[in-house]
Amino acid sequence: MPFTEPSQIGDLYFAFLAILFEGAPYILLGTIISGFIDAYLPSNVMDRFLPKNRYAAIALSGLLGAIFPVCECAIVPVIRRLVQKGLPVSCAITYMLSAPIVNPIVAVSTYSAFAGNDPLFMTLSRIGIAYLVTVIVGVVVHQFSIKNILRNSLLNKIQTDSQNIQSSAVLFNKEKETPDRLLIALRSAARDFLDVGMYFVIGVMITALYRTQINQGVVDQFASSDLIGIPAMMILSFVLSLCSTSDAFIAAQMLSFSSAAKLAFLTYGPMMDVKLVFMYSSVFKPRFVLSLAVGLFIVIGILFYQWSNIPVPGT
Amino acid sequence: MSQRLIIILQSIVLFVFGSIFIWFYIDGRIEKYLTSVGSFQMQALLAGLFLCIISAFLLLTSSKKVSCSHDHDHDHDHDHDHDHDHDHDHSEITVGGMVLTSMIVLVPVIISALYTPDAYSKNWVQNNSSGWDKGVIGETPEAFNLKKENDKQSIKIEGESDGSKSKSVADAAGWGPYTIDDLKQQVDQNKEGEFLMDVISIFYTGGDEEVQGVVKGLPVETMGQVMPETMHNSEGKRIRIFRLMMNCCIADARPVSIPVEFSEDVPSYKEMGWYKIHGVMDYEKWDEFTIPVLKAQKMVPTEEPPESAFGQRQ
Repeated sequence: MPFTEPSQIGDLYFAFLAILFEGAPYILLGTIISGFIDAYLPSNVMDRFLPKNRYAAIALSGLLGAIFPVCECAIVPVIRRLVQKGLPVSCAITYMLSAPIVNPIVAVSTYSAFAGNDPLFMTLSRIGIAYLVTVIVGVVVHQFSIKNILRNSLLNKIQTDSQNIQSSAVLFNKEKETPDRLLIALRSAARDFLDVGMYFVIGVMITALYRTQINQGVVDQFASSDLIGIPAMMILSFVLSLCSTSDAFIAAQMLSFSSAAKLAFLTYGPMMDVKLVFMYSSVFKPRFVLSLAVGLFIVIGILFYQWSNIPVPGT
Repeated sequence: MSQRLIIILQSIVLFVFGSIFIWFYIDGRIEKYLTSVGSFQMQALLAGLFLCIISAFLLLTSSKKVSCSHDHDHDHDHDHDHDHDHDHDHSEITVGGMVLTSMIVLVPVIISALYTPDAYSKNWVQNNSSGWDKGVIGETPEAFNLKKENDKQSIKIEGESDGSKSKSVADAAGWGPYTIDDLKQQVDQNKEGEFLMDVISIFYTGGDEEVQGVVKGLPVETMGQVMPETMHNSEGKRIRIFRLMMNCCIADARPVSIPVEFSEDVPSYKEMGWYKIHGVMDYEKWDEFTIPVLKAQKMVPTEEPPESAFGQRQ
């Protein structure tokens, strides 16, 4: 039984816990995967599975979510570990941004949410444009040094690991290997869970604050045109921090907004929102996170503004 | 020693975190937070259990030194004592940093878990009521609880072959013409013959003219929380009844409501209180929307149901 009566501050606690209960299992899953990658996956193994041509590798990374669907909460610890294990940063970021959208679960949920309102067109548009955006981001990121992208702590780990591999190759003590690895995996998972969880908690607090203390009707007044509606919906998706598997049901209910604005909402949100800003900060430099947020905002905004001029089938 | 202390701290944080998940699940309160549609509640329980298991594992092995998979076997041409272990953890965590992380993670979670009211206040409902002057247009039948599959579906679809297809949403979805017999088969009735329809189902009938044709004028019993009506209420005989509908968790919920009109003055009621309302269905045009209105005959206080918010119907 709860100990308190409903109140304005109680709304905040209520919403905060709800998002936590929903998101934390995925973060835990991501960090457990991350821990096992740390313990069992040899460094640089990822590079071997990707095409040698970096642009082809980026393009392929944008589709990995179809095979390894991971939501935006779980992907961050996984990516952090994969980068440590030698996955090129451009490919990692492409996968990180695309996986929450370019995956079968989100395709089905988007199709269901828009049933009766051109579901196939909406679903394909969401996935197609998300893929395009993430590949563009991957190609752009490829032009920069990872020193400008990754946090120093992560960069140091990569360099240390690399030096160790170069200096003395990989040495496994077979006698110690088996018992140690599970422990390494779980210790890594616990550490990652707390690292990412700290940023997640901060992001969830801000999201819950917005969801409970602000009049949600203020958004409707921006629905008058796509020029305003598209950026307004992207800002809304940023603040709401919804899960990509369910955000389509929210967007479909926003009758005041155009399809382009709804799709911008559904594309920007899973790539960049309040909680993700904090979670990304556990991997990337703050300046890069800011640039990514602004860059995605502009690219997605422009693409969907152009998309809005495409005639929708059946209309 | 500091390494062990850090592991113990991590273990404590994971245990507290996991315990809160398990506590809310066992207590049944998780139903107030996560939809019963899908596996969200089970995921929360599993997360809690895994967190506690990992916590116990870490605690039991906190004194154990581990070597990682790659080598830290430096050149060995320098002279220092090689009794040191290579038990680094690839991070620069200090005890102080760990304490700070633990505080940031745990303090808001513990405070929220202890002081959450498991329900939204009137203030939240008001903040989320901006859409109450809008109805639905062309919603699919699956969005509400009517027109779900029944034994008659195949017969109706066969009946369509006579060429008498209407352009209703139901037909587009392949449900065929909708009749009072369908409603009786799909919706229970109470002893007085009133149809037991939830607020959300009633709300979504506003998007389907065919269903409105069947439902209009029928006696209905519904249940929900009530608030004052602030629109189209010049005579002051109306209130609002609403239920919450969530997709995944209560943070993404929205209150779905319909106006309730009394023939006389509105009886005294408690705002946000739970009531059963008995009345007759009617519809009004508000701009381009068709709004269902329940013409109330009786309003009775009732207990909050265990699952106070509906999951998204998919």
